[in-house]
Amino acid sequence: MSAPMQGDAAIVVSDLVKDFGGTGLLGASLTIPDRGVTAIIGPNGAGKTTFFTIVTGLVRPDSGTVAIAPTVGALAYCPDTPVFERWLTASEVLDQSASLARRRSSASNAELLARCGLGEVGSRHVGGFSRGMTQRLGIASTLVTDPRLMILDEPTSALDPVGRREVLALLAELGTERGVILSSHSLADVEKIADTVIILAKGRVVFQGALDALLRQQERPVWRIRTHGRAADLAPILAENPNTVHSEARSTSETVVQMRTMADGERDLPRMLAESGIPIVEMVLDRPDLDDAFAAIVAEKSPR
Amino acid sequence: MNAPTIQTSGLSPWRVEWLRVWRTRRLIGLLFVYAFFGFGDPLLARYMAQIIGSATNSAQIHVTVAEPIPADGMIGYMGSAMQIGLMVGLAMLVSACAIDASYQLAIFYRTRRADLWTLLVPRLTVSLITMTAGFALGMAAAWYETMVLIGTPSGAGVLRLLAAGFCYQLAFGGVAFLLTAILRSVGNTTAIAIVLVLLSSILTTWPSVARWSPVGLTDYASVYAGTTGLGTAIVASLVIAAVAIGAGTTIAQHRQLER
Repeated sequence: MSAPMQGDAAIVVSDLVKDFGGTGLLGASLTIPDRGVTAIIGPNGAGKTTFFTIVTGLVRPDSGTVAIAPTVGALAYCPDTPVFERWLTASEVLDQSASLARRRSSASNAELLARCGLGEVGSRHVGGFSRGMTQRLGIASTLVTDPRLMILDEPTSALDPVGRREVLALLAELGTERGVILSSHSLADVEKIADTVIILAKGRVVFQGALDALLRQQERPVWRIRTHGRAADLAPILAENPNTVHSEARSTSETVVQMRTMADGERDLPRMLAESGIPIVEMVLDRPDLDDAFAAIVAEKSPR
Repeated sequence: MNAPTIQTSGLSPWRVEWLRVWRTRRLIGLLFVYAFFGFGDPLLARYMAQIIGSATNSAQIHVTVAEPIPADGMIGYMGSAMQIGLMVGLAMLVSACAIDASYQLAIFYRTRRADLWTLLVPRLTVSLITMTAGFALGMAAAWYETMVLIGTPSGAGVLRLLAAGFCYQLAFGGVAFLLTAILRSVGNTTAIAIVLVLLSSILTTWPSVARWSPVGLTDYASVYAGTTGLGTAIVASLVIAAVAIGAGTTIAQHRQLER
């Protein structure tokens, strides 16, 4: 498993195949940057966990190459539901993790546990931990090895909304100092912290790039126009333009208009609104969120 | 970002294994089992005549039981220790050495330590030491109880039984370790190891083979009396243990992690 590395890339994967009878990875190629938060998303069975287990050396691929930059050095992986020896304390788990990895952060156990929201329970046996606490301990147990690259499989799946927000903030902060790869089914979480998004579907990469680029790629020339009433008057006026595809009053004060192209809308809409004489409160592009973009791209590019 | 430092101390795999046998009460449990047989079997040997007499209290049946001798107390202990005691010890060993039994826990270990033998050796060693300590403690209890109730056992005989017991445990510990590496599951591995312990007694009906296997160590009366040579059986036990431990470590090292 070797391939030439690209600059600023932590991991370069080419044509990776691990076929579990039609699921797994079926020819995935992708590049993980060495800094920032990279989110790998995809439907169940898309190959996310398979990718993680291959990159971490737990499973050998059928074919393809994985190249990890020498600068990465240490790489840490935390599964979605980490498990520890139940009879160890949280602080002992960190000691054990560092001892096993033969690397240790200069931060103390107390500091690391506090950073992960476990400051009060360092001396408690982990057998009594809730799923959310165990998930936080999973992150702390990777942090104690001070990895250059952290791989976290659904790191917020067991957390309550407050815990989710705290851990997302922590991951965003970690992304400024090292590479963080995570998978999540919560696209709202991904949208908050991811710099790069990789979408897997049926074992292949269907999108890779910056989150902004993904959202821009899915933009449609649709605008929402809010007025003080008179939406029913505005819709027919906008429909008269030959570049208008569709115009509709959604309520007394909101009109939705779809143009042929973004350029048509940016050029024609301000002029038409000015000429209509109807007072405008706001005009906003109907931007897709990650949910919309994800659904669209998976539907469009999934291998048949 | 904090600069990493190389870990030179902390919770080493050896320390973790001692904590495992202590905090999970496995040490106490195993010591209790061996001590129970150590104190119980000489007592049983001493009062066997009375027990059988009261069980067959009938005018038609008359049972004559020989007066107990010190060898009876020690041999009785060996029989229990090398069957039930060994099974409990093997269950403990298997659960400690089944590093891949829990997928998520295996991820914790395998993503931090590539050279798996550095984890397996402490697990196996501490398990075997615990089993050996339990067996020796039980032997001491049996020796004391026999001395008080029946008479002082032969020192050389007790030492020969100890040696035979150590080697027998080592051989089956090695085989259980190999099975653990192949099967992963704690339940299945323990069950098969126990069946092997039970089936091994069949070999005693085939003396020419038994002499060249660990089973040759289970003729406790001859071992105690020193009327049979232990050399070949001890060598066979050590070879089986070494081969099984080496093969088990190699298999575990090269296996991929599976859900």
